[in-house]
Amino acid sequence: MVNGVPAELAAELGLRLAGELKPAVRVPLKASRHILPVTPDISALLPYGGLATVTTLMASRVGATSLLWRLLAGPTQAGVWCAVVGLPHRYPLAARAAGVDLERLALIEADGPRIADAAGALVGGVAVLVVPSEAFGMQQTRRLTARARKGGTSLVWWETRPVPGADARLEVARARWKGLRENAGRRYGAGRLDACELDVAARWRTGGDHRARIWPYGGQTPDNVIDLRGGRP
Amino acid sequence: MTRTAVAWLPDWEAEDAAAFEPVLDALDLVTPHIEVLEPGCVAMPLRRRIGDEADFCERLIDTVAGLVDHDCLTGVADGLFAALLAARTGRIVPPGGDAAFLAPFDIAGLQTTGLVDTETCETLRHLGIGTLGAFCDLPGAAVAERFGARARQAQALASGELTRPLAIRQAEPELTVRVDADDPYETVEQAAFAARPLAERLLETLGGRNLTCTRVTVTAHTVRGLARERTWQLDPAAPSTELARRVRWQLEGWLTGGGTDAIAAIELTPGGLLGLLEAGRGLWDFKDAATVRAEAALRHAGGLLGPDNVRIAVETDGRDLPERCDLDTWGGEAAARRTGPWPGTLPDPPPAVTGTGEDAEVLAVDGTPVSVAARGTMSHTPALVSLGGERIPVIAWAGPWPVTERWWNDDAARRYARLQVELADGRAALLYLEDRRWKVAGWYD
Repeated sequence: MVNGVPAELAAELGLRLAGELKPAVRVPLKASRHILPVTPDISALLPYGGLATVTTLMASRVGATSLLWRLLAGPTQAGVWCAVVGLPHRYPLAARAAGVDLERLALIEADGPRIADAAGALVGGVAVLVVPSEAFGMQQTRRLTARARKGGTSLVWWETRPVPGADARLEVARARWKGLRENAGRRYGAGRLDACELDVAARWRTGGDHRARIWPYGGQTPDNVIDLRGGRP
Repeated sequence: MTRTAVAWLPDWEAEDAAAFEPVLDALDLVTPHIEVLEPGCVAMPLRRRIGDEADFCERLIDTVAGLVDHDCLTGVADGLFAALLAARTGRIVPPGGDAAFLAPFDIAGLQTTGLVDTETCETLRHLGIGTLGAFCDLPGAAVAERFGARARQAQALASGELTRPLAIRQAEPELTVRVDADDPYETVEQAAFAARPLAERLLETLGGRNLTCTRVTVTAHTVRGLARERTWQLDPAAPSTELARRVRWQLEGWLTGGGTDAIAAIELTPGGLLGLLEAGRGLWDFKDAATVRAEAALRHAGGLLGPDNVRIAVETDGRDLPERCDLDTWGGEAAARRTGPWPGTLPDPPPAVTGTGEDAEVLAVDGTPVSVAARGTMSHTPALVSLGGERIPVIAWAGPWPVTERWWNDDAARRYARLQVELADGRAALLYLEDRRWKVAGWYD
């Protein structure tokens, strides 16, 4: 321990030793970590500003698919391969509308236990792997996560069942569809659905909640324009 | 004594040697001895036992016209040079008549030998030597002195003194490698153990010919006489261990996937043959390590699930959602891309979830079913959507947009109307009215 005059001085001036300060310093990100670029609107929601190893996406919310495609837009445009396993009925052109390069998006059709087989074959190879969490048992989930961390694959859990230990959990708090109108009493409805606004909440493993508004298909109105149509939120 | 025939395709335009391959295959039916002078022009020796030369030429012309639909001219003479010029006019020069046949030809014909350039021909013409006959009459030593050895050689060809033997085309080598099992392979391990030396042998065979391949077809013959085969893309620079692993994955897929009994023989056939030199250029291609690794992983997944389950989406021609988008097998043949603007297509964004095909009902406030009139207006304002017995209020909507497609064709004709609705529970859907029934075409998600 430090005694005598220096200690008294330190106490008086409110100084602390470097050793005492250390726990308060945030751990800087490790260079070895594999971070993939994402579009600027999403990057604020993710730790390290990019797609880290394990991300979860709450599947049950309306707008989750749009958020998923927006999340994959950055990596596919950067030219890395993304694989989506076992998500049936997804319409790929919606992915393109959200900015995904379809040439780099592999859609793997699988169901039941074959999803785990396919994921096992792809992890460590493709840059981003999207899998539904319900297809994996606890043991398989841990193993896949470990292999993803080791192999440098970013794992995105399509969270149909909670998955522990994600670097970031994304959840669409609210989705608003833009362009449709009330059209009360009309026989022909004017307008068309041309954009969507997602309120996305992110919770990081390191703590802290983050929120952002994301327009996956573009069409965001500038801040200085007030939408006078309808007055619906 | 052997005579020479030349077949010339006057309309042949492609420079590509590979494109000429089908013509050669057709000619193979007539005679196996062929030298390709250039794409569109071949020479073959005529032996005594071939019979009447005119008959042979007729047969040759018929074969080419019948199999590859090209006009073909033939010329027959003692030497190759005379036969080449005879083929221009489709003539048969009698034996020993080469010199007489060649004599009246213009001096420019000398270029056909490939030994004399245009300039020399012009010089000869200026010197008053306008025909091949006149050129042949010049003293050989003087020609050699004035124009060099190559012109002397051309002179010897023109006078029918010199003939060169034909270099006969080699048949396509048999490159398939095969291993027959002493005891049929029951397990993946046994099969993989046999596959590794097989892969090495294939690459060795190819390497011996300075070749490599971009595709490998793996064929497994089972004990019951069934054959299963699948073609794989292969990185030409990949080592034999990579190929062995690929074969192992495939065999694993077959043996563990069921439906395949013990394997009696394995065959590897290379495809997409490429010179080693060209393959080396791949080194400077844009494929980086990460892409190679990702593609290997996708191939592996394809091996486990079947290649048809690894898909790439492409936009194709069409107006309706399923028509607009096609799923290609990754690494397989590409589907046709979108060619036109397709007016009447719904603009982006499209629904994110399609193909669920739920039945729906669109109702007015008082519960009356809503329909769409022929002029494209709703019978009532849509206020409720009934889905699986549950009635959800509509808070915003747009449409209907009617579509009448291919009305000129009874089988393919289609009429439907599209309606976008936003429901009170926060969801938005694209609804179709077809055959008086509402359906959910897609959910915006």
